[in-house]
Amino acid sequence: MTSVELKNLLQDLAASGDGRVDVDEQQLIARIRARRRRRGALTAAVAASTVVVVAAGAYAVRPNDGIDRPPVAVTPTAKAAPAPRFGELCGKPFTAKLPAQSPLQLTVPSKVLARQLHQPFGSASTLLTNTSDSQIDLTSATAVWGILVKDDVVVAVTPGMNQAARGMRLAAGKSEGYTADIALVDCRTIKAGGDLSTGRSIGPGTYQLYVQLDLIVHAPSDPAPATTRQWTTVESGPWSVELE
Amino acid sequence: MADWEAAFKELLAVRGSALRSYAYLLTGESAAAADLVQDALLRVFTRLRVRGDVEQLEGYVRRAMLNQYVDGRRRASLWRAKRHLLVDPPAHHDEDHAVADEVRQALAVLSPKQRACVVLRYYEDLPVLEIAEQLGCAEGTVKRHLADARTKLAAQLGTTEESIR
Repeated sequence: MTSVELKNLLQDLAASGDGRVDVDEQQLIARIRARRRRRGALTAAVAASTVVVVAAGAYAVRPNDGIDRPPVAVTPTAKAAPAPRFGELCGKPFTAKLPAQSPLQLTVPSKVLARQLHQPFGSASTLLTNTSDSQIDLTSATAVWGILVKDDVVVAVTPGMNQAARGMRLAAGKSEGYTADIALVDCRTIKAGGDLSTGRSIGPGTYQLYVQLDLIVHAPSDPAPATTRQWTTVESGPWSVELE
Repeated sequence: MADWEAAFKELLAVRGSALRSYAYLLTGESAAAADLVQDALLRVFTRLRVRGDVEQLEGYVRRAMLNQYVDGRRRASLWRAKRHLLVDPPAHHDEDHAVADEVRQALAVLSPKQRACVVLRYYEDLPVLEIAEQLGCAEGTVKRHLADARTKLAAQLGTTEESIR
């Protein structure tokens, strides 16, 4: 057998393999899209961590934001919430008490951090509640940021997200649900570039969960588009959650 | 549609068949070949910036496939995870398929690096120097792999080693 004959045989074998190798293009596109989204977002979060760490003191929605006055229409045109402070806390000691605020309270009714199927994420359900006796118009991020604390140190965070804004009118006493997705990877072990697969998974157990939601409360006297208004934050914690 | 997605679809439309064939030659198993192609595409297109034309992208994907294939640990773990799913390939009775099976079985006795060298040398027509660059080893190492592979293939295919230089 000559090398030419071997080449021909290899070509025949390669041709026979083409029909046998099944590549699911659509499924692959979905996987790539998800990975690019996570990777890009986490890269942004890592970049944001170089910014000054803001102290985690309590702060509230400004009390004079017009909640006693007639509401105006919400303009959900904002594209992005401000950089998350929680994302900057990876690996840092964190023992703050962040009591639920007023008039907008962010709470975590569930005590379980549910693992997502086929993804290294855990999800916690949160509720944003209007505790005042007036309706509130607001624009918020579409998801809640969260951190997990173990032994007083932040060990896992919500990776950065590219999310649109969401406008709503929250009647007095009513609540709106949000989800906090947290990467179940020890954020201290993720290598530069933000690829979650480079980090070590965090194990089952009890963690302290802190949650944070970026939003804009609309003042009727100043019905500027959301894009020009200042974002503020409601947050709470610690909430004791169990990761199975 | 994002730029990467358009590039991805164009690559699969234009060169998908060649990539699948290449993977099949390297692995010899349809399931493992599918994994190899998909993992390589995933790796290349997950990068935030996908630039280049189809030819360049194909080069990246082929390189990723080669790296993954010769990575013994990955190969071993894939095999452990999936060997229970594999069945014996069907026996072929026509002459062409019988020969293809014979070649496939002959390639199966080679080590991953020997096999990669054979595929790159005799199927891709790459010179030894370029094979060495792709595998990240010395030219002498490639020559040794090729010599060892030729000896094994000659024994398997019932021919002489000298005839396939």
